[in-house]
Amino acid sequence: MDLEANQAERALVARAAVGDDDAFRQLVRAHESAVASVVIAMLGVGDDAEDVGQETFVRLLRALPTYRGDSSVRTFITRIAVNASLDMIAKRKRSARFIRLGTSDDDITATASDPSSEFSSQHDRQEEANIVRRAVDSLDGKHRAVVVLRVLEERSTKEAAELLGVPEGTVMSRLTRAMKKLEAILRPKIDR
Amino acid sequence: MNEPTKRSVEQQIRDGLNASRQDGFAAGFEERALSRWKAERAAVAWPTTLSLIEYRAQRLLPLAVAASLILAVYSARAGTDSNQQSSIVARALGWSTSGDPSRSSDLFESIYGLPQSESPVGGR
Repeated sequence: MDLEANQAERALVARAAVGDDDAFRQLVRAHESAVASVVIAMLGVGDDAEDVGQETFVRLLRALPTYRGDSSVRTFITRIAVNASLDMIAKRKRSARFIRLGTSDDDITATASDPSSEFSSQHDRQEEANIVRRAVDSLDGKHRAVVVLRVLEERSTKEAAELLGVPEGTVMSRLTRAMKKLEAILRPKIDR
Repeated sequence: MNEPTKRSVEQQIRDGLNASRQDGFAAGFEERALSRWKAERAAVAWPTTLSLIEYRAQRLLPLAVAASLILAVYSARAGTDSNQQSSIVARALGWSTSGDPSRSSDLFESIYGLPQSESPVGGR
């Protein structure tokens, strides 16, 4: 994105931040797909994803004074979306630990790790997608974020590192570890 | 043998995530997000006077601490270096006393109406 377009976007964010409703709507229209893609991949479809999606835009406007414009608004908002998703994963984990209600990430791990109940030949594509979804959900937040950014979003290691605020080496090691775990869960399907 | 398997897993994950990929939230997201932002702005109402004071205080606090430390060190050194009885603050403000004990008699007189030798406590 060129400098001019980036400045126009910054101006749009600034207008939204001071209460311009139309600017806010424009901003959401421009970035909803990028935010939704990351957030839903991180959290799955549901109220949490919707909540984090809204929170992402609110955080963007709140963070405006700290935004120096050294990255595009798209990159900045993606970073916020990833961080807000990680916060939600941490919150879910805390709730699961202390309340033990509903489905926690640990429960998902248990389900996804059980190969005997999964992967029969009659499962359709959606079923397979659900299995992958659960396998990805079994990863902790930081590993899940790397998989989403590198595999689904097809970001480079460098971009993923910038978005997560970690060194490139960390991204690579997390990806390796995550892929090993996913492979262990999903291999029965491949071996058939 | 290992490499194709790894690629297959990666492809499987990509396909699986792409199948459940959504490039948007439920209809009406724009308005819901806007309502939330409006509610947030109304609740926070920033910058409030309080946050402004807090901001100023945070900036001034290190200066105040540094000034106190310098003054304390300087006072301690001045106290050991000289026999002057007035504090550094008093001297800095021009309240220097002569160090003459007789001056305190003025205070006694003004409070009790008595010369210092006649102590008001146990003077009966």
